[in-house]
Amino acid sequence: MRQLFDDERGISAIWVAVVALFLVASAALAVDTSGAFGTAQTDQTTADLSCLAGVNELPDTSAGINLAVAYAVENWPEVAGNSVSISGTTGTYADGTGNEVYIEAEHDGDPSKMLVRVTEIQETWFAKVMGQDEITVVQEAICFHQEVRNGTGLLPIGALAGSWNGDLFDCAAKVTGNCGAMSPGSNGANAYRDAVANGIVGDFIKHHGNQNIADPDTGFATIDCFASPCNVSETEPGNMVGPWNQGLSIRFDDPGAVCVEDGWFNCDSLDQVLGAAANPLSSAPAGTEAALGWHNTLYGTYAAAQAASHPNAQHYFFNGGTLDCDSPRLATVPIVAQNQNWDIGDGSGSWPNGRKDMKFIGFYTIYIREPNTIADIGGPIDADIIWFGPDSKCITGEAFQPIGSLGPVNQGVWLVDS
Amino acid sequence: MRLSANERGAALIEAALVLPFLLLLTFGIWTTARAWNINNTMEHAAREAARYGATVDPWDSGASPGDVRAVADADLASSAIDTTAISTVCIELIADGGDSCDTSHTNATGTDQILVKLRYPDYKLEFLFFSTTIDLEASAISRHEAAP
Repeated sequence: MRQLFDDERGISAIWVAVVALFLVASAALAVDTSGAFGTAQTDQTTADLSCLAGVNELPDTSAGINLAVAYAVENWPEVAGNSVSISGTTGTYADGTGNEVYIEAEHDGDPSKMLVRVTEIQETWFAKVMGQDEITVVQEAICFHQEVRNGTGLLPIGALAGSWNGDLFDCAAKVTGNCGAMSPGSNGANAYRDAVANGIVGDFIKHHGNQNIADPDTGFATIDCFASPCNVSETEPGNMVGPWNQGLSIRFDDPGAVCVEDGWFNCDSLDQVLGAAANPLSSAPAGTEAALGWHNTLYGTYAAAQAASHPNAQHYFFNGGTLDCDSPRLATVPIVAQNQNWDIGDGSGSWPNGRKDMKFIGFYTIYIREPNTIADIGGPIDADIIWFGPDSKCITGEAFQPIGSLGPVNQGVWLVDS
Repeated sequence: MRLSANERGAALIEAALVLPFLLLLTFGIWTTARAWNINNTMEHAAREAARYGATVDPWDSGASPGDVRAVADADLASSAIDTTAISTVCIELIADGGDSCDTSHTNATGTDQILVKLRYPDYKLEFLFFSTTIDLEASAISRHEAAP
């Protein structure tokens, strides 16, 4: 007996066998777990892209559900060939084996919000040994469709999507005396002057035109524009030079400005407004435009903006530091679109001088560079475009918001949770 | 008899016998995990690129694919993956009813869409004493957001 226990030959092999068993079991577990993580990754893609595709159809819930399902199948072709079941504002697409796409077209009761939940049954490789034949992977995305309905501090000048060159008041290419003036909510020269001075504050309300034509882009009846905020605003027709100059004079008569010229005029430089040197747009890291949702439809081709050589509209990128957010030289200009299909105005005249309805679809944030002195009032207004990153902060510590705190600042489709 | 009774070095010999097996296992775990990691990152990159491509309007079939690929590359590079090893199978705008460069795919959604498909061809799985190659693939299809 003693000899048996004294004989240590083979002890390493026994130890290795025990450890190897543990290692093999760990490896097997890792394979199945990795498989589940891989499935979760692809399912998240399915949920995200399905949600973003479908939410644009809202408030038409049926169309939204069907398109969400279509994109779910595009990204998950293994479940193709089944049919969608719609009940009220929810839809289910299942293959009968546990794989399922569930959609809520009015998530949380919000007619502009959608939820897509993807459930996939992942068969295991090695965990079967332990009686675990499958793993259920569930991934979810919540997204919403947002339209611009109100704002704070907007300069009452519309810029057509993708085509604005920064010449705010250089009317060479437009109708002299009116360079895209927008109604600040109530009509008239005095209201326009005040909006130039202090910005449009409040909801976009429409007061003229046909009340019975629905906006084909959204499905919402435009009559809502009279009773509640909407994304359509009227132009301010006629010669607006006088009110514009008066408003601008008031705007720059700012006793809180960093410096004053001629005892009157604000002269904050762009560097003073930013609290740091301005960087050209080309300094933005690769991929920033995607991460921040800079939409080419709104702002023009990003590459073209980076390479912009227009002398009156330089493009800058800024992310971080502190901003003098109260500077009257920092302004937000609404990007507008005109479409006869949803133009509910009286149809007279042409942009920018006639009475038209313009749809608000986004914003530029600008630095008003000219006029720089009181003597320049009445001359061309030049502005630079600033592309803000997410870390931009006001001196007061709050995150910079291009149009204040009253309402949403962007239009489009967005992932709330992913 | 005297020889067999001497146990000095026995553990060493046994360790030498089992060490290759342990190393094989360890390298196997490592190389497979790395492949999973790359595949997952490619999936994420394809999704981000497709989401970016959805906002590129108007789509320029000459320049836009490069911009979309740059978004994917930025994502891949942030995970220390050699972007030059990954090829573009398809980055394209597929009109409603159109066919893709990926011949297995036809767009039947009633909308225009962006397809991003990436491939890491011949990814080498190293098992210490031998190796094999596999193709890693990831794709994402996003609805193209038309101009308002």
